[in-house]
Amino acid sequence: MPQREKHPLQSTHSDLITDISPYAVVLTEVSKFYGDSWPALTDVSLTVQKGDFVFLLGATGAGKTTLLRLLYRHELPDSGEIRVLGEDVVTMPQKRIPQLRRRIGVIFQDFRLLPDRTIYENLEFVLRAVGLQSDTIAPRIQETLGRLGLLHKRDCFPHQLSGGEQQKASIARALVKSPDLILADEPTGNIDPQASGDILNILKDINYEGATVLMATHDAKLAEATGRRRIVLDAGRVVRDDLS
Amino acid sequence: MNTGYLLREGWRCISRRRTQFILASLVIAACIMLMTVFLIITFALSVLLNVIAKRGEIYAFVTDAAAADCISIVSQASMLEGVQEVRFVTKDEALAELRTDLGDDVDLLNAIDSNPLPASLRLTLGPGLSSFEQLANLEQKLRLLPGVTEVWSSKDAIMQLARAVRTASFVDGVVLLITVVSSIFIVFQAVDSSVSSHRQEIEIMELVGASPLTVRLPFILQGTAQGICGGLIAFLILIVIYIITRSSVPIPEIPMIQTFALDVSLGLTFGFVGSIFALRRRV
Repeated sequence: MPQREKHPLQSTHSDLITDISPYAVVLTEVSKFYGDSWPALTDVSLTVQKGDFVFLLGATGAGKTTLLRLLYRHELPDSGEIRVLGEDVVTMPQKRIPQLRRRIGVIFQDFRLLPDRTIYENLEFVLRAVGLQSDTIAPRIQETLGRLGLLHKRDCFPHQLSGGEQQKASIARALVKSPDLILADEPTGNIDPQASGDILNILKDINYEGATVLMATHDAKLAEATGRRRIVLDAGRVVRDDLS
Repeated sequence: MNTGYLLREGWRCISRRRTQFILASLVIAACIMLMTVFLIITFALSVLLNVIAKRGEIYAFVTDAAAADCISIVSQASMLEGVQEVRFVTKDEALAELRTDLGDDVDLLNAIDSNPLPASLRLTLGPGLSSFEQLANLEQKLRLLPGVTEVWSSKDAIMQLARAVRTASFVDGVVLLITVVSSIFIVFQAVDSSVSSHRQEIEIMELVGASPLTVRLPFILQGTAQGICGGLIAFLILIVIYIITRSSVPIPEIPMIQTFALDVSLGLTFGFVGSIFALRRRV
């Protein structure tokens, strides 16, 4: 496996954490309820090793998105423990959340690109927000866009791109800060099969370079075709895990 | 975050809601202007009160017999508390003063054979005399001196002026409260609606790990800029009004630099506080 280049951001925060665990993600008996009675997740326990590519499968409402949201601390569980990249995300103080999120790249089904900014500006926005120095921003964006074949679209606005290209731009935005963990929530849900294949290949490349990828999808065939580990959720419970 | 980029983000917040920015700045300007006008009026009244109080003199008119032994009565008056200086004015000096005061109408005095004016003591008040109760007390003591027939002072005028200053200060307080609340509310509303329209940017910034300060800074910048613009507009309008008024009415000079600093710093404070309130609620 090729050694991933160390990003300037990583030296500022990941070195502070002594993360000797082999796991990127550890969930122990995690439950999450919306309201009093609707269980989004019930007693979910799973681990994802660093450098793994794991599919999170399940129908709509199975709890895939909730699980991902718990991992990047968008929400808190009602019970259970969650460790992400060595950090206990349940008990971590609020001020540490940005540091954790800088190590995670999140990709959404609906892209969530800023419509009034070009693709270049969408990526620049991220790097500025996390405090990267000006002189390193342009080369990093060039490199990321080049890698995803979007360099010629750098000055286009999102609405000028196809669905597949918008998703690539969304991946570029997640990748540009060289995250250790990629959380992809139905990244192929809004695009055609050809573009889906491209997106999957990009994610596999990212994984090959060392990043852990956790991809939620309801497309069981897509997951099966890759031969990677699958975790199946149904009504908030893990009903199948290739690891066990 | 890089300052240039931060300014660009701040400008993006402003330019996306330009009309609202201008309207909010104008409302803030109106509030600050109102407040400044009231403060200037109160300041001018206070200055006037001080001047009158400092120039305040008490006149104690004395009988001819007492005037004959002026050294004794002057010495007694000098020993009274709060008196800085006592000057004895003879009947002839009083008449000469009256002639000067009458000016062109001095012929009126020709109708009088003898000098009807009494001699008097002119007492200059010292800085130790700080209240009107003390002034009234001093007047009372003067009346008890042998040979004093009547005592006159500018106490009533000073008291009226002091009352006016107190009223103006109270009005200032009310105006200050209303304008502070209104200005902060206006900035709050503008920033709040700006935050709503930038919801997606905020979510993405939080998602990628931007610090809370980085997320908030462009909005704080927007609110503060709004306040400063309001302060500047208020100052400019005030100057125009001042120039126009001064050309027709003799009004005292206003302290330009202090007024400018006051208006801009008020705007800055309102803008900053308003945006902080809005962000505390929404971000």
